Amino acid sequence: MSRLIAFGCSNTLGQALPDIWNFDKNKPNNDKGPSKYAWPQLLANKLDVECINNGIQGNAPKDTWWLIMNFPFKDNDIVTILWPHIFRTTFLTEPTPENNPQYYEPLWPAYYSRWQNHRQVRVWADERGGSAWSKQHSKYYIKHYQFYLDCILDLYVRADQIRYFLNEKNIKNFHALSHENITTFGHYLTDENKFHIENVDMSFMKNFLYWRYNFLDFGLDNLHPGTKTHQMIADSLHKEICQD
Amino acid sequence: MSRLITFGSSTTFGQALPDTWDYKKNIPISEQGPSKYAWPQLLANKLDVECINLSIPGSSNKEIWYTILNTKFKPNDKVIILWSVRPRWCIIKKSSIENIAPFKIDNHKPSEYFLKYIYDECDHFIDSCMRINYITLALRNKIKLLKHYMDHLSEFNKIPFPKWFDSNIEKVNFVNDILNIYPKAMDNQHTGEEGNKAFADILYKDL
Repeated sequence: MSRLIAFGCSNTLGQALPDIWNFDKNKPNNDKGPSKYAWPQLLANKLDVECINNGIQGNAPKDTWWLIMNFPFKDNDIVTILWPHIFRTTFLTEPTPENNPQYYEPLWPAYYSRWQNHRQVRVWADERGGSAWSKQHSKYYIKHYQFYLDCILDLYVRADQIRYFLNEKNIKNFHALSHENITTFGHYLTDENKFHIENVDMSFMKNFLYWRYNFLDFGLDNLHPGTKTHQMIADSLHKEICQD
Repeated sequence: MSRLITFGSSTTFGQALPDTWDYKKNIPISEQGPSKYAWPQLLANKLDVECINLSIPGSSNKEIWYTILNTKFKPNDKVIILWSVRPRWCIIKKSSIENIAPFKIDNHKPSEYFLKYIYDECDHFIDSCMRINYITLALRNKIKLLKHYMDHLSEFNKIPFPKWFDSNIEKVNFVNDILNIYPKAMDNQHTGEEGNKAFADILYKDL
């Protein structure tokens, strides 16, 4: 049986959907794994294939790229990627029991980078993070190192590399931008603003430009997509896959 | 006429060679373009092809990669890239590129902060692997020949390559085979004329 392998962030995991929500504490319960109401499972149902949802809450484009490049794909897999927010990043450090006990693969992404003597969770787009200290460092990073063109180019090139990589393995792959990306840099995607890079062709990237205006409903946290929106994503990707 | 197009940093530019050196001020100059004594021009002379040296002194692998992405190639082009292991980086902005490098830390806060808190050898290595591989994929079927060289190959090989890395890095160690053997250029840091000739000879044999 072929498999649908989905990658992305909380929007792929299905954060704040009913089956992975802690109603007592009114907060997400991501330990329960991906939601059956999230777009990957809905899409897999439509395609009648097994679903492997690799969406991870908080993932950056770079995490997503690294997971895909190291994933054990099989023939006939179908890969779908909902690319996370361009203003997140992470650093790939060598895993040690101290910084990354749950992984043993060489050079697996450690979700910690070296900030002085601290171990820092990823750089967040909105300066979140567990402590005042990590907020401060995210703030500095965002101020001095994150710029639109650089971040867009980074996402495009990682996506393009994955397209080459999977095409060579004859694995079908479909790429879409999350609604945060459309909101953040949607204006860069319009024809009149589109920047030209001679050897990069990003026409394969699906732009759900209507997302910004047509977020059909919200999840239980009033932040993430709700069940109807997930259905809309699944339908859009299904159409794309069937047209291919 | 076919073309030799080269990319890299100061070593490829020919920094501090006689025609890129201000003898009055005793400093390198780059305004009038790369040196005719640098290995790209010497190699192009041997191959009897036009030389287009698009190297930028002080550039990071990211800037080298970005320059390649923005270059128009022709099917007959031969492309040689001399990548670097140095902990340099850059930020690509709409109208400029901001370089992050160890030689800037005294008066450039982002460089100081980057090297102190952000730079990670492993992350930097994977980043370089990604960029080298991307260039291999992006230029495949577009040009006649593509060769990757690394300025300090033994340093680059310290961390195991990711399993998806399938670009061929040529087995020439510029630092050990050239820089440490031949006389230095005017700044006493870069390779002099003899070293550039020797490197051009090695590349010519390779080609």
